[in-house]
Amino acid sequence: MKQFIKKLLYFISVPIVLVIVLLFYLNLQINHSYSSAIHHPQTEVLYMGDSHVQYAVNDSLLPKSLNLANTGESFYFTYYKLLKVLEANKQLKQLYLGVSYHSLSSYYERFIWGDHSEAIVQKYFFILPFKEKCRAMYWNRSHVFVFLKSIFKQGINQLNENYSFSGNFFNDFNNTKAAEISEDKRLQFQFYDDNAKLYPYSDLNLDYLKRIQDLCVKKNIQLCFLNTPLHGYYREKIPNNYLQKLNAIVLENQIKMLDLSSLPLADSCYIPDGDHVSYQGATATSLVLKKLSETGK
Amino acid sequence: MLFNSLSFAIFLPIVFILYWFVAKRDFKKQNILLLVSSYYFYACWDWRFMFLLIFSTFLDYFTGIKIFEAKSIGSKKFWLWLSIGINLGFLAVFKYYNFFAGSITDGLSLLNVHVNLSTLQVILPVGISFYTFHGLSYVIDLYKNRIQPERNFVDYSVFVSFFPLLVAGPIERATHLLPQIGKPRSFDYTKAIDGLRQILWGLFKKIVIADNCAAFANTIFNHSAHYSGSTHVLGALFFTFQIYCDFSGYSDIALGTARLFGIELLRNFAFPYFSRDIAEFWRRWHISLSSWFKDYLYIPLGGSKAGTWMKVRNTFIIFIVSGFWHGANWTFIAWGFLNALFIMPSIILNTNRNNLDIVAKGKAYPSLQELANLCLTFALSTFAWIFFRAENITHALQFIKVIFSRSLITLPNFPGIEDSFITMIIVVVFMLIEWRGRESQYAIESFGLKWKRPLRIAFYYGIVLAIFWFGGKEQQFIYFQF
Repeated sequence: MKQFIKKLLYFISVPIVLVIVLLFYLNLQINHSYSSAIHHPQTEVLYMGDSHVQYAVNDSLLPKSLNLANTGESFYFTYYKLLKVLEANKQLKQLYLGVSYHSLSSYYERFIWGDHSEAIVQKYFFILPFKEKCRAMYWNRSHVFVFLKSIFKQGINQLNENYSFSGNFFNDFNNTKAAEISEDKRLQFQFYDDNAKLYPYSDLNLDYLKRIQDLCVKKNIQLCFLNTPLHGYYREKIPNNYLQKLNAIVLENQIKMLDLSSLPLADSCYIPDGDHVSYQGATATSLVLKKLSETGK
Repeated sequence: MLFNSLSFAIFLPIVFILYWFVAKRDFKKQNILLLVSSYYFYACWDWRFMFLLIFSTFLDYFTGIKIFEAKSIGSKKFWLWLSIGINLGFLAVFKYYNFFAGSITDGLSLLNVHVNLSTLQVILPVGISFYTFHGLSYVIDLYKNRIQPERNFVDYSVFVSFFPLLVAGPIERATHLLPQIGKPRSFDYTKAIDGLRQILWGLFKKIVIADNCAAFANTIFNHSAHYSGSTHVLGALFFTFQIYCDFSGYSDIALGTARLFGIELLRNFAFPYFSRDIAEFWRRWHISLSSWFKDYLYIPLGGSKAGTWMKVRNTFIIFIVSGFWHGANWTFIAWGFLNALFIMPSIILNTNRNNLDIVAKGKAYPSLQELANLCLTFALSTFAWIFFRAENITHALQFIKVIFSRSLITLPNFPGIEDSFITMIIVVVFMLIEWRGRESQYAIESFGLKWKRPLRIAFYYGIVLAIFWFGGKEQQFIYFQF
């Protein structure tokens, strides 16, 4: 019996040790190489957030700017990414952080540990601190092997400097327009659960939003919330609570807010869901941002 | 709790340690532990159905004693039929009621008679078909004076509920399993290692082959209207490997797990895709069910003793009942009927027991004649699986119609075909290993045992790596729905 247990433990421990060593190596390498890759000495203005900002801000049209927003990136992930970016870019002066009404909804927690997290967490895994790595493992415990596998796949990609978490301007929506059916679906998905009950606010994301504010204060970075353009139909149907909550956060923390949600844009400047702009919309938005930065507003 | 889940990977070592370290001196304590663990294992699906399991166990335990103690044949028959009636009654309610209600309603509507038989909103208790057959075999064996009744309720309950076989078999016999439960068991290093090896192979079959084939089979079957005949053939082939690796993988894990506790379960699969005729296929596929139907249905119906016509009739009956056992759907009945048709020539010509030995025994390759027979049998079983997998008879017929259309001679194409190439290669490698190990109980039982230790260990790590790399999210076993 003892021999059996001993042999079994040996057999199991080899892959476990290998996995740990490999994770450790990937962690070290990726963090080191990302610090070099993300160093942009010319950049003074940073844009971060989720797909709203990723789709809306064409940084090639904006001087000394860099868009690092990424699809599905909640404040939780932005915070840890920002730590890395600030570490490598001491010259940064301003951060435009994408904050919209949906960012406050607890539906976004599904992108951190819920049913939508699978495609997101593993991308950021290596830049998370140890404690958060353990939490990520715990959140994904029901399919831990699949999760580990995707971490390794991401790790290998990131070792080749393909930092899927890093973000950039991306918009390949041409010739699209907002469609009310898609907008309704989108609103339902972001603000209401399966029983049509309004989602509560996400405590986790609100906590990390506060952490981002504190970090900017500490690093002497001017923080500005950026609410990207929203289609009229979508905007009108945003639950009132959320409109008030965002206003309250801005007022309470006395944060500068650039609210472009009512920017008059043609229907063709949106994609069907109504809360993202198309390529045409991105150009229009970026030109507005350029103009504002030139006039010093 | 699935065998291929993390929770089982935690559950199994805990039960193993408690079994061999805490309760090691007393097999009665070990049995209590097995029973509690088995009920916990079952309750993880739905604790409410545990009461049905306990009731069914108690019913057969009690009627078994009554049958044994009955003084008259009439009394024996009463207790036997009481047990059979209640057991089959549960099956009828939970598994077949909605099917019968729907079929009667549909049938009458064809005659312009419109009735509205209400259906039941109940889910099928997992494993009910398996533990019901356990119990039935026990009471029938008692009635036939083949065994003595088990007086110890715990031992009897372990026989019915032993967690490795509880939800999808193998369907055990009291004559085989009860004696093992009723005596002390000692730890056997070689058997334990063998058990682990079989679990590993079962996981490989399930996670690497079955689950990956399932993804492609589902794509093709679920959207079959969009694809060509050649793609349909590919879909049927993917399902053929999916169902084999899913179910035999489950059986391997069950047998391996039981062996860790010093218990040998009945073999359920013996390389069925290396059969030279359909009769041989059915001696190698789901052996515990086939032999159950043979012993408790075919032989009582007269078996093959009353002439060719009776043999033909009885064969059709057991195949159709066997199909119906799988599920309340006409597709399963058609599948059973089709298999009966395929086996008919050998039944009529009395050649159904021609191929009792292992194909090409002691040789590396089969002869051309054997190869042709293997291919034909494989093609026939693949054809029959179409009915098993299809949503309904119309779907199956439509599927077959496309196969035999002109589009059969085009290149297969479906979303994800590039990804399926890797799976195809793995299936080929898998079948080569199966071929090499066809004289063993399971393919890798003796595979590599003569190799140098590091090479052998590397082979096992290769399997672990494949499970890790090709594995996706936990997928339920197909036979859980039966």
